[in-house]
Amino acid sequence: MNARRWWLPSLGVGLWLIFFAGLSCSPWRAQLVSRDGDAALHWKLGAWMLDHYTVIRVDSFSHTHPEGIVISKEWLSELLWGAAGDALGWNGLVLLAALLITTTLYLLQRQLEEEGSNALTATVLTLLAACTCSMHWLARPHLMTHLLVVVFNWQLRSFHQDRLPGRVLFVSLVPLMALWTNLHGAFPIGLVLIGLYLVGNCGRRPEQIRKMKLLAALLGACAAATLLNPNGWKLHEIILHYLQHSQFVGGVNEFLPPNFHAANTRGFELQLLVLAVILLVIRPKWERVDILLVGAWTYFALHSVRNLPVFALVATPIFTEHLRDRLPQLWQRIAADVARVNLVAEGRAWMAVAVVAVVAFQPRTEPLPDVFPVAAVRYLQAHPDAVRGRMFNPDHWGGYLLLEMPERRVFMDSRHEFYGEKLLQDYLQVARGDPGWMETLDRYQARWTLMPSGHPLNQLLALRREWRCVYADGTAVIFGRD
Amino acid sequence: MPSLSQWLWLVLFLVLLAQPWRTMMVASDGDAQMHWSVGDWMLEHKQIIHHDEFSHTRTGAPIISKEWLSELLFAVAGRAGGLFGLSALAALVIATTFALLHWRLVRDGNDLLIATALTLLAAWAACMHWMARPHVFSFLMMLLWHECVRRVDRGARPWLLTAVMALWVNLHGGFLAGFLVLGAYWLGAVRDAAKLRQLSGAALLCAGAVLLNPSGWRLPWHNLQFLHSEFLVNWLAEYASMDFQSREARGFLAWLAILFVTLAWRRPRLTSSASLVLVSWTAFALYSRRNIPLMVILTAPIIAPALSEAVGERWRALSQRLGGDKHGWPVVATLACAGVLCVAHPTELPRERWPVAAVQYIQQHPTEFNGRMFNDYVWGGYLLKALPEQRVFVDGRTDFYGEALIRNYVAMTELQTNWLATLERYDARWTLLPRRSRLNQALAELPAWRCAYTDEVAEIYRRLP
Repeated sequence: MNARRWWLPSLGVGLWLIFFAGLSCSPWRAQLVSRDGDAALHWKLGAWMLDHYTVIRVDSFSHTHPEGIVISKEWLSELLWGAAGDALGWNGLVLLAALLITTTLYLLQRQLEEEGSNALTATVLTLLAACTCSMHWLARPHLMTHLLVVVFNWQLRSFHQDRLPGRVLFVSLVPLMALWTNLHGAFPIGLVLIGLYLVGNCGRRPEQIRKMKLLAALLGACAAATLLNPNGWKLHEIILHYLQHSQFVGGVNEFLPPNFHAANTRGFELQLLVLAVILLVIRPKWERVDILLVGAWTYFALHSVRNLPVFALVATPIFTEHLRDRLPQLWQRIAADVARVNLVAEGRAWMAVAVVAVVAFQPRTEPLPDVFPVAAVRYLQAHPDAVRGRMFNPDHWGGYLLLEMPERRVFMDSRHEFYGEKLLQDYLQVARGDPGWMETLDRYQARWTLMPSGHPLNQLLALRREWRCVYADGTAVIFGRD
Repeated sequence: MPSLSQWLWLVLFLVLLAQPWRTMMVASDGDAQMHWSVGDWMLEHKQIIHHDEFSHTRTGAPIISKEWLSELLFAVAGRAGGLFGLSALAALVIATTFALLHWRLVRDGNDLLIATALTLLAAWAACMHWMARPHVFSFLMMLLWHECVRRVDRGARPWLLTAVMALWVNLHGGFLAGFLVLGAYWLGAVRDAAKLRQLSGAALLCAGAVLLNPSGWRLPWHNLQFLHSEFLVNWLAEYASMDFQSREARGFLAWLAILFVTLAWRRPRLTSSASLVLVSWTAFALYSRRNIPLMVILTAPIIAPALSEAVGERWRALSQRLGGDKHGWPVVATLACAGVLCVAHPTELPRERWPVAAVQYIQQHPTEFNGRMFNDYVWGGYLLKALPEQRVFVDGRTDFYGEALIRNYVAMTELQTNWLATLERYDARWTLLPRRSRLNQALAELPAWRCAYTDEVAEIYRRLP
């Protein structure tokens, strides 16, 4: 028996350390907070709740929907975002996001190993899943969903494969479902996962009937647990309303179907290729529940890019199960050597060291100035009289603006379901320059605009006598009304 | 009594001739009329078109005609029956393709009902690309090509394959897809030297056949250059990935589901070539929606045997009872003719989507519209047919106009920073654009431009002299 080596990180820990250091300290950290304005939005909402010791229920950030009722889908995550942001600024958001991403990958790797895969194969397939997930690595509460998808799927698979008693499943998943409901609006994914395992276990054998009964009861209990949130059933109502209305979903990039011309779908394409190899070359006997899980989550991923990470996290354990014993002999030999070393590696302490080191030495993170109107905001702060009155801004800058310019209320941010269909349509009419755009801008009494440079609205405003360009740089243009 | 394949042909043909299909096939974009106009010019001048005659932006520029033979056929059909003629020709080609697919599945020994269900499902998946344009010939040619490649793979001589390529290269620019299928079979045969020699020889012969077109080697080179343009491939809607949230994606989703369930549940042992065709064309179909019809035509024969093996005895007995007489063509032809004669022919472009009223206004006030026009890209084909006296700025021949001109078109319609300078550089004197176009909103603000006409669909702006 080899002695445990505390200084040697296992492959899983190594994976965690590499991704944690990469995400926290490389230029990627700016990407985590700069892809859209939501990181700033959630920080601001969380900070407001921390300041007021209450869950946010009315809006105080926009001039188009002041005092509107807010149904917060992710108040608990926002508290974490607010605390991290208030404590460490943008670095805090990066740190929190990096922790969530790496822990998700670490747990996936652990799941694959526990289910019988060797450490090397588990690590490589986790890396493949990371490629798919990486398109959605942003400092936002949806990372909580990714983490909980792994936990739910791991527990459900363990139960399905008779490695976990039903009692433990109940004790772990029902409280987690209540937590998920308060962490992120995508909590119905948990119910869908339980539902798929339930359908996959339908049958007449006593064993199947026992599992069916237990999963049905679990589904009911988890559904009831979702009511444990500050807004009760109204949360479910607003999520359903949001998903059923194409004007909300169609206007958000992450709800669009994948564009296979783009480089960010390469991970998904590779995973589909792995699926093809399993189906055509290995040709294993598939369990019904696996067909359901892979089929359903492939469909959801094709429907909407935001489901790509969930597909990766759910499908990877199934792919690994079919692949692990069919890899070439050379691979198996290398994997066996790696496994011998991995068995004695006990370097989890490095994870704590890495967190402390990153908190102490992480380079300063700022949103990218070519993505957000950083210089324009500085100009407005230096010249507060340059423009007065109500602003018109793009929705994806809303979060950044309400964080950086709290003294000016935004026209809109990315909370489309909060602003409602009418306001969204009006916003799109102006932003697209559709007929009647000027009348709509007048109706909202917008006195100035802050739009990306190259946006057609700037060209339209430049042609009107009563509007003048107040500020312009390579990222943003400000027009003011005389 | 006609066979099920013949009935299938008849039903598809008549459905496509009925509304709303016959209008949809000519009204989905302006290309149906663009090809008709080009073919008409060739019929009129009794020569293949070599220089542009329709635009003011590239007047006289050399044209690599990718589909001159289809354009001639569409022009003959258009002269005979107008827009209905275009629809009838497309319906004939599409119905023949899917009836042949069905016939082939049955001939391969698949269960008749499975073959029918798969053919109908394939038709559903492919129908979002059923338009009266030369690419429908590629559906038919791909089916024939795949059959010929399979025969060559089994040892047949490649003469028929070469003949199919020689025809395809003159019908539609999609002939390059044939080489991808041949390549999959070539890779699949890499361990079999004799087969590899046979397929290599066939590939060389077919490469030679590609040169049998009016533009010679320039045609494949031109097509490859077009596909190499990332901007154009990303800009053209039909090259985009499928929008899986749209209704038209449901057929393709159903096809993918059948594919996955068949492979996971039945676990068929496919040849290397079949596996390569299946994987590569699924990838192409995900990459670009225009590959979906080709993908279903190629993959149907691959999954049909696995599904046919799964059917029970009762089902098989029912299938055998349904088998008809293969000599039923006279009955089918008579019914098809009766259908063509009985169906009300008028086929018009929907006025709520096409600038029909605006074109009438221009025809009624010819003196007001002197000088160069700036027009919507999608409407280009329609305009060069409806207003032959006016030359268009752009139409659906994206490969001919090239990346630079299309970028300028986008700069103007998207109101990019240089939009006005670009409009002036092309000396556009009037515009005909959709009412909601941003460019209309900008022109409305310019004192040198006046709105000459407006309706719910289109607006015309004219530059003051």
